[in-house]
Amino acid sequence: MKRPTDQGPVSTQPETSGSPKKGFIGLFAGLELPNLIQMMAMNGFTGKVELRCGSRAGEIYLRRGDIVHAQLEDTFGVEAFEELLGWVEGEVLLEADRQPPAQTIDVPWHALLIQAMARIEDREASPEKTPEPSHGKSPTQASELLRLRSFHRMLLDRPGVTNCLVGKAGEVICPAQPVPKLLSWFRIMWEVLETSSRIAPPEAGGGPLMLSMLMEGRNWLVVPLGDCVTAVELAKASDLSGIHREIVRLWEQR
Amino acid sequence: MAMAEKESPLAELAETSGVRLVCVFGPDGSLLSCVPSEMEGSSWMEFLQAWSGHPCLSQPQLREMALFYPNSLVIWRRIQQEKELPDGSLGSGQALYRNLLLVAEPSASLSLLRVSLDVKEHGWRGLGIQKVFPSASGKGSGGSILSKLFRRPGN
Repeated sequence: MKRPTDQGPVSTQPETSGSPKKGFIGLFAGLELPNLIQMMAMNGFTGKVELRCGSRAGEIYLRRGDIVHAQLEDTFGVEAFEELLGWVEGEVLLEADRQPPAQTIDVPWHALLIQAMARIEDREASPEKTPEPSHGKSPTQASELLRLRSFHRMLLDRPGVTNCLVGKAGEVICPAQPVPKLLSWFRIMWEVLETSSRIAPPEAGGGPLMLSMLMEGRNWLVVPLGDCVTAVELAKASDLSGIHREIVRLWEQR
Repeated sequence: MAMAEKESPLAELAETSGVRLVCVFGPDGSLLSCVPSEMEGSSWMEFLQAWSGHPCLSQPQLREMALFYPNSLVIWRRIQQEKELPDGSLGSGQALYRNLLLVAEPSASLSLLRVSLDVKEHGWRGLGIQKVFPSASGKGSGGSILSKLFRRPGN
C-alpha cells in the first residue's frame, strides 16, 4: 500500500507575492488524485488544487476539508469534479488558504469521492470507454481504498470510539499518517491476532473473532475482517460485543 | 478439586463461574501453577505455554489481552511487581512478573473476570509475587539471571 510519503517528490516554497494569505505552494508528481483529495479532506485542508493535463486545466477548492467547488473549463460542480478525478496523469499545484470563487458543491466529501470513483469504475467497465494509459493503482484499488477510509471515518464518528486504525499485513492504511506509537501498537495487535489464529487448539473452534488489549492503560478492540484488521480504542466500560457487531455490520455495508 | 488445588493461589479463580483452566507461568515459560491439574497435558496447556513465551507478551506497553474464540475466552495478564518488598527481596528498578493465563467459557463475562483478577492480583502483590508463585528453581525472586547476580548488599 502506498503511503503519502511514497507518492513522489514534494517541493515547497514560500508563497509568492499577490496571494491572499500566508501558506505554501507545492508541486507533486507521480501520485493518484483520489488519494490526494482524500488525504486533504481528512486533514481539513483549505485552499485550491489546480490540475493540468496537456492543454487542459481545472481546479478543486476545499474549505476545512469539505470539497466546495470544482471547475473544468466551462463545467462546474460535481460534474467537473468527477471529470477531474478521472484524470490519470498531469500536474497538481496546491495553494493553501485560497478561498473558492463560488460554492458549486454541497455534498459530504466522502460521499462525493465514493460516487466519483463508482462513476469512473462504470466508465472503465463500459465497452465504449476511451483507452487511457495505466498509471499507478487501478481505479478499483483506489475505490477500495476510499471505501476503507469511509469505513474508518464511520467508526471514528461512533460514540465511545476514541481512535481507530484500519490496516492490512501489519501496516496501517487508515489514517494515512498514523503516529509512530500507534503504528507500532498496530503491529503488535496484528502479530497477536495472527499467532492466536495459528496456534489455536481445535477446542477453540477456529480463529479469534475479536481481541481486547490493554495497552498503557488504553483499551483496544481488535477485529479481523477478511485480510484487514480494524483496531478501535474504546472508552472504559464499553460494550465489546455491541461494538464488535457494529464493526462487522459497517464492514459488510461498506 | 484435590486438596493440593484447594491450597493453590489459583483455586478461587478457578472456581469462578465459567472458568475452565487457570495457569501461571514464569518469565522463562516454566509452569508454576495450574488448576485443575488434570489439564496439564491438554492441548490448551500447549497453547498457553506457547503464548507464555511469545515475544509479543514481553512488550512493556501490553498488560492484558482477551482472545474471543468461537468456543472459548482466553485471558492473558502480566502480573507485575515493581516495588521493593519490606524484606528487600526485589531491588528498586527491577520488575518481577508472572504470566497468568485463563481459559473460560465463551459466554463468561470479561468484566467479571477482570474484577476477580484485579482482586487476586492486589492480594498477591501484597504478599509478594515471588512468594505466591515461586520460580521453578524454588529460589530467589524468579527474575532474570542478572537480577540474581546483582542482588543488593545484605540480601
